[in-house]
Amino acid sequence: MTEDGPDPRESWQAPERQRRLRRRHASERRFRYCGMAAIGSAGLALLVLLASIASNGYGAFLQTQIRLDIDFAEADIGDLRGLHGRKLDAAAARGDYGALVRNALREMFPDVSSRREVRKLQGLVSSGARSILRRKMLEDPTLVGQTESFWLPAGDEIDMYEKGHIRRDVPESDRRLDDREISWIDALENSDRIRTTFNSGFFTHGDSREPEMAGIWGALVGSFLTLLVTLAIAFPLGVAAAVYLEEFARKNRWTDLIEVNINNLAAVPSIVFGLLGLAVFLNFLLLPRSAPVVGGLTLALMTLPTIIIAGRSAIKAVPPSIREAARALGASPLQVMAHHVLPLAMPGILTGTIIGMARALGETAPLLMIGMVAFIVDIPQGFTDAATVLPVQIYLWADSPERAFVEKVSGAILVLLAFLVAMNGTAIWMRQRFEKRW
Amino acid sequence: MPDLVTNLGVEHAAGSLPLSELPKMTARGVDVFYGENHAIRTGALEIRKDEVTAMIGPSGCGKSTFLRCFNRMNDDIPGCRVTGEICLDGEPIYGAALDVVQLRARVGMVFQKPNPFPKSVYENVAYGPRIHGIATRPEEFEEIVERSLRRAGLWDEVKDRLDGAGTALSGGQQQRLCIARAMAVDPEVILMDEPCSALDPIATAKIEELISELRGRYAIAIVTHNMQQAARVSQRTAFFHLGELVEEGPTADIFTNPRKQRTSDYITGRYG
Amino acid sequence: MARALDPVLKELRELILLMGGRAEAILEKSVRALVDRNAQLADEVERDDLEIDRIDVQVDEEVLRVLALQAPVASDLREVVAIKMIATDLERVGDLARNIAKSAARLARHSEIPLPTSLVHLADGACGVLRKALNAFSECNVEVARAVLGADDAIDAAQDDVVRDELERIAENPSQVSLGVDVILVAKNLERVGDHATNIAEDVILMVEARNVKHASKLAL
Repeated sequence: MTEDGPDPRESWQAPERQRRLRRRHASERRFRYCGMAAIGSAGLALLVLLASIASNGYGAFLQTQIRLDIDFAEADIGDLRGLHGRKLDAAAARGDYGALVRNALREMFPDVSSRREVRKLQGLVSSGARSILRRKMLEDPTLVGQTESFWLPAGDEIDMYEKGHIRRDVPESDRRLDDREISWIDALENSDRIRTTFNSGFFTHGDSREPEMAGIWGALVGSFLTLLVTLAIAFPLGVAAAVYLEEFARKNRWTDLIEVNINNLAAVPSIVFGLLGLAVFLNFLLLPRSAPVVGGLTLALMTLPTIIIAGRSAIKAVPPSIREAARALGASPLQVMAHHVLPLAMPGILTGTIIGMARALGETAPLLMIGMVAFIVDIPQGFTDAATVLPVQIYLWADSPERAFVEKVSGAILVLLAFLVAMNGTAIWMRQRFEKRW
Repeated sequence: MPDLVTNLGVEHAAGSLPLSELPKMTARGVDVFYGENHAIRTGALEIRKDEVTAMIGPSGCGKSTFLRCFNRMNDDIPGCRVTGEICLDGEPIYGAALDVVQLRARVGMVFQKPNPFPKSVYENVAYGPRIHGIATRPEEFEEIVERSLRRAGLWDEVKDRLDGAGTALSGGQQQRLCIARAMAVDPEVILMDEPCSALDPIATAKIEELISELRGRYAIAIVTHNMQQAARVSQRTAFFHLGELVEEGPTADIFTNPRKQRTSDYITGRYG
Repeated sequence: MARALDPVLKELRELILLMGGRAEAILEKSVRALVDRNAQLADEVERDDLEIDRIDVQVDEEVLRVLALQAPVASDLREVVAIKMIATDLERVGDLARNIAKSAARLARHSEIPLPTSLVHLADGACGVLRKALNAFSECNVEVARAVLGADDAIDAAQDDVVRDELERIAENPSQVSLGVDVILVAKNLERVGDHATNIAEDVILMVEARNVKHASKLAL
């Protein structure tokens, strides 16, 4: 073997080489550490955020309840036995269920006499107890004249006290509850008449002035209806637009212009869409304010660019060999699209749609512009009823002064985050599931 | 000594030859432009029934482009312009009279890289008849699927997994599936664009055998960069170079005694 | 573009030319043995023919290799096939020369009997066409090849002359019948050498022009 130049094996051991090698390894390590540090700090920030929200909000899922023995005295509520339908509803509406509560409380604490103290005593139980008792009466009119014991929701300040937000060791003048009220609470505790339990009402009640009765059900229904409208409008339009732009439109300056504009629209601040919705849907088309129809239309406009972009990219990803094979068999362009391209592109399109929907779920600004700020108590029944959506509900509660709403805000945020995580998770799962199909 | 002049320059007077002797497809004076690029110059060819016509030539000389003119696949390429006359059974295929969709049912194509649909084997073969309305009842579909797969020599290998994915087959099987798919619509001509170049030698041999068997039923044109394959499989060979048809004739003549120096240089390997 | 086939073809051509040279030499040696009545030369011819046979085997192997591995086409294919056919003809020429030498050895013992001039004439003709045919191959010259084809009739006529004359002489001198037979055998072998030269010329025409002119007179009917 001829020798041409220094033996390569030797120079790999040279100290110069070794030094350079060490430096290379060191810079690799540094790069890796930078990456890990970046991820670590992002993760830490996320963790802190979630922890603070969770610690604030877990209380929303708990409710303090007081057990009262209610005497359904005929004198207060009338005789509802034997009545049905509308007659029953009308008769029930006339009853004074507050009196039932008051009587029950006075019986438990007979030594309360002064009017101020009596009013404070009433405050032990939530005003929402009245409608609970009325509902019980509607369910079972034979309760008239009988005495039953029920767990009824406590007032919001009792709730706060039980959850530890009002502390007894603070001087009385700085507390929301005075010593008398606290002694009542102690008495209730001693007789096992007070408990803190899972707050199912958070998920089944609509909004309310009383924090302890407030729930997100109305907002959830509103969000659902709004997103339904958004999906029904944005999905077909978006897919059709993506198909047209990708397959049938001729490639000229107009299509380039359209493409640039769609990409820009995807980045426009959402409040602009709210202004558009206000101007066109409300002022020009005179659609009902604060209805899911209008909210859905506005959010559809906002989601459309996302779906179009995702759709185009999914359609572009379908291998041209499949299209060629279909065309060579004699399929028309529409058949190629419907039988081959769309089914293969659908996972990508759906992923983009879900991501768009998740974004729409969390949008507040455009919906504020079209008036979904009102205080809506009734659960919306249809697309034209006034409604609110979850993020707006959170915003409204954050505005309220009562201490009890603070935890409700965080609780609602947790529910919203759960939905967003679920939707994005579904999108990721779908993408992975359908990725290697060909 | 056999006469080596081709028939291309000879005009057939109307009615002078019975239909069975007219070439199935003829191309005359075909020019193909990709934008400014003049890809094919005065291309001409005849594809006859009972014959395999091979097109050979160096890479990029336009054989595939020319082949794709016969089923108007170049229509789908933006900026591509085709002039000249191409006829199927005497009818010009670029005229208004013949519908593209119908043309492609009569002139099928098999591509270089096997491209079965990501559907079941059954659906792959049944797709063509379905969109052309050739079959309507399930029994008709089943019959067509079995017949096509048998003709492609694939039936025994897939009859137990007709519902399995077409893409789960081996490369050679996939290509035979594509051939079965093309045959399912009962075409008159089958165009093959380097059908074996993505396959291993055994799969290639099977496909070549299949082509020989199919010769009697369809008019077949095959583009290949493998001269040995052209020599083995075809009865007529056309040599393309730089977008021009240089020489055309019976395969045996082309490979024992080509007339043009360019042809001889190419097939003896004096230039690639 | 240099091809893998080119050096192989070159080697084959050189082999054939070598074989041709040996064939020419062996033919001339056997004729000289005949004319000079030299029995020793006759023995040498025996050994020379082995050499030709050895080259023939080599050509066989090379041709098989080329066909299997290189799959030549067109002019290359015709050349390879022609080379194989020419090798066969040259090998036969070697055998014919050996036969002539055997007869020459026998005739050498009776040097007093003169050889007919027509035989020498025939021998010259045969050597001549063989040389011409081999030249035609090495130059790829179809005119020379055609000239060889044309000369075949003359060779045949010369052979007829020798045989006729010799038959007459035998009739006049019956005691010399075995010598006469040898003369006739030599004449026949020389005529066959001429035929092989014709074959070689036909192979050259096939190689260069892709025309098959073999058996033309018979097939023309």
